[in-house]
Amino acid sequence: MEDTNLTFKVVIIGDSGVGKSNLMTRYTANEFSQDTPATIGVEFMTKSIKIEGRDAKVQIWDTAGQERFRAISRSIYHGAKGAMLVYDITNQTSFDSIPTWLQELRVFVPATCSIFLIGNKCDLEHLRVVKKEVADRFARENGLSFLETSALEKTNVEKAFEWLAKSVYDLVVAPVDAAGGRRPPLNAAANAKRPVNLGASNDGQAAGKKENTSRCC
Amino acid sequence: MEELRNIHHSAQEGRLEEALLRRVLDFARHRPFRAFHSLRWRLLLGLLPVNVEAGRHFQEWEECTRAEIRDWNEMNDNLQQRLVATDSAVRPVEKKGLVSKDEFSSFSSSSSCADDGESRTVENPLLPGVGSLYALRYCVDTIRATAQKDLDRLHWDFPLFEKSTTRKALLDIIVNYCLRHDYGYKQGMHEIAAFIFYLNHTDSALLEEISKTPEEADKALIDGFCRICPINGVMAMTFSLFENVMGASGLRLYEWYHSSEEYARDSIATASHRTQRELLAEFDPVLHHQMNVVYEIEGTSYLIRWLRLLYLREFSIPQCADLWDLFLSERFLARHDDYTLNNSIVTMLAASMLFYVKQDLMVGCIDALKRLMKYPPVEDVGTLVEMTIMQRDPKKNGIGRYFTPPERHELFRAKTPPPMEETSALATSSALLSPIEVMNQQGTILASIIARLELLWMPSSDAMSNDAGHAAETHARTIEELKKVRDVLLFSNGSKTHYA
Repeated sequence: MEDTNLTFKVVIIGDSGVGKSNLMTRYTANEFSQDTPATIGVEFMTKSIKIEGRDAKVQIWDTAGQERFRAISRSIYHGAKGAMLVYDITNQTSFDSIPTWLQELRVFVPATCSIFLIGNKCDLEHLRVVKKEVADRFARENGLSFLETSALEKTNVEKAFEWLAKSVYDLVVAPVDAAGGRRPPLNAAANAKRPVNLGASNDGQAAGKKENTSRCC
Repeated sequence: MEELRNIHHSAQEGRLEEALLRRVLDFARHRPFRAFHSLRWRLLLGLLPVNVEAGRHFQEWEECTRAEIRDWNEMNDNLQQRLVATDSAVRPVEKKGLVSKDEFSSFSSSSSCADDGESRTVENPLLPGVGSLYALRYCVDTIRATAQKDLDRLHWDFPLFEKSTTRKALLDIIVNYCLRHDYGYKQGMHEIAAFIFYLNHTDSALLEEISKTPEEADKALIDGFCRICPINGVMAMTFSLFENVMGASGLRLYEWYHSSEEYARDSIATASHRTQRELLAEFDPVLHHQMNVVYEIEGTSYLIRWLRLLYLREFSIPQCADLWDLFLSERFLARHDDYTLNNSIVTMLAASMLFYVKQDLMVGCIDALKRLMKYPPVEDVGTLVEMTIMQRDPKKNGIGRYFTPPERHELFRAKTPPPMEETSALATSSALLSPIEVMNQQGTILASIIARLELLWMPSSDAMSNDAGHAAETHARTIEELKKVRDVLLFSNGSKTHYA
């Protein structure tokens, strides 16, 4: 029997000021603001979508970039099936923090959590300090999917969340369906490897190249 | 002016404490925003002494104010000078670029002798000693980088905050606070500081404006207060208030920003859990069960912002000023007794806020979370204050003694469900109001009326003269309110009509 109330939780983490809140508001309400105040605690929004023809609701939790290694982190990450690690391509420090964020994330979320590396503010190409190749390599080495976005210009924002939702569905929901609705054994889930979506990555790279070309014109 | 006259006369007569608390906690009268909140808070936090010898208040308060300004100027000037010294110490390296070891030593020694009398040894900039200029520079730059970003995206709709001088002032206040207390900067501190700065500036500017065209009878009064709230002392007064709101001698807000150990149980997490579990259970077991058992909502998800910012994002600026009057009054009454922020009226207010929007919270988990993330505008925070104080001090032994609840008709209106976006939603919301909930609300109103009657029954000697003249008026008003409660309870159709 199909579950028509499919819901899953996604957390957005990363250093302060990289654009986490605008990524969320751009995706859920198609709003961008230069005046977004610093997030204190967390912010929460939802979006209704379709995955594989099914209705689903994504709960997006946007976090404060300054909170690390705190008891409060546990509750924020609890139950998250997807995560976005966000850095700012014009801010080397925010990329250098990604390993720390990833380490914290892995402490609190299960191995089946889909993790995306997001390089935001790709509209500021003239201020870029984080090479795309460097970030892509880091993502591959750590089993993350990678995409560059611009919340300002709405570049790849929709795509990032849709990929994440699809990835969550493939890793968590589909296996449950295949098992006739029964939860797979815990040890099997724990041992399951996270497949890297090479097809998606290739598409991403191709899309990136096309965008670069169009920008040059 | 009314506020200043009240403070002046009661101080002159040696009864400032009682008069101040009653005025600060009077939610029945109109509460203007320009009520000199910053002055009230300095009194309530002991920055200006309340127990002054009758008639000597201006002199003592002026001395305290001058001391505050002197201390701030010394601290900030000292910091700026040390930073300049750091700049000059670094300069030789910049000028020379690539230098040999000997050349570097030579220039560094020369620079140290000239610029830093405290030390004549060559300092390795890559391995700064404790208290060295390089360590100081690094600390300051770290704090400034983060705080600057947050201040730049603080977009309060006031002309004051568009000035670069305001941003710089706030940055200096935050840097000095963090260095003096050896704390890192934490997001949210910038808004606390900005709020205090805004109120100090508003009050001082207002006084300066009044002083240009004073009534003859008030001239001495205004001159006195202008020296107590000088426009050129706004930074000093802001720093002092901020330090006390954050610090151990004041509200102890620092407990919700910093924790001693990396993985220790945060005080803010403890406060959040306690609020949504214990305090909410006291208010309403049904809502408590819904939030904690049915929804499994984590209190930290919304309470971190509510509590750390002392509700600055949940209510308007004037409403927050009124709420802070409440928080600091409680702190004042605690005196040197153990005051714990986690067990304060600040957390109890959060439980009242949850109860106040109970109908929205009962609809479903997602709707509840959205409501918690964006609390609806409240017409009169006096209602929330009343609920909070009744829960906190039902017998009126403490803060309840000084509290005057808002007018009843306002309470009736405020008790209606918050406005919904859709008419159908409004109808649905009204339908959700069960008879038990109607009785609960009316019971709350009855308890408030009874509390007020008790106050009249045993008035204090100070209150006697004031209340005697209004006894008849209060009596008539009380009868009117009791009739409304009767109508709601006896005519169920009426209650639905009323709340629709």
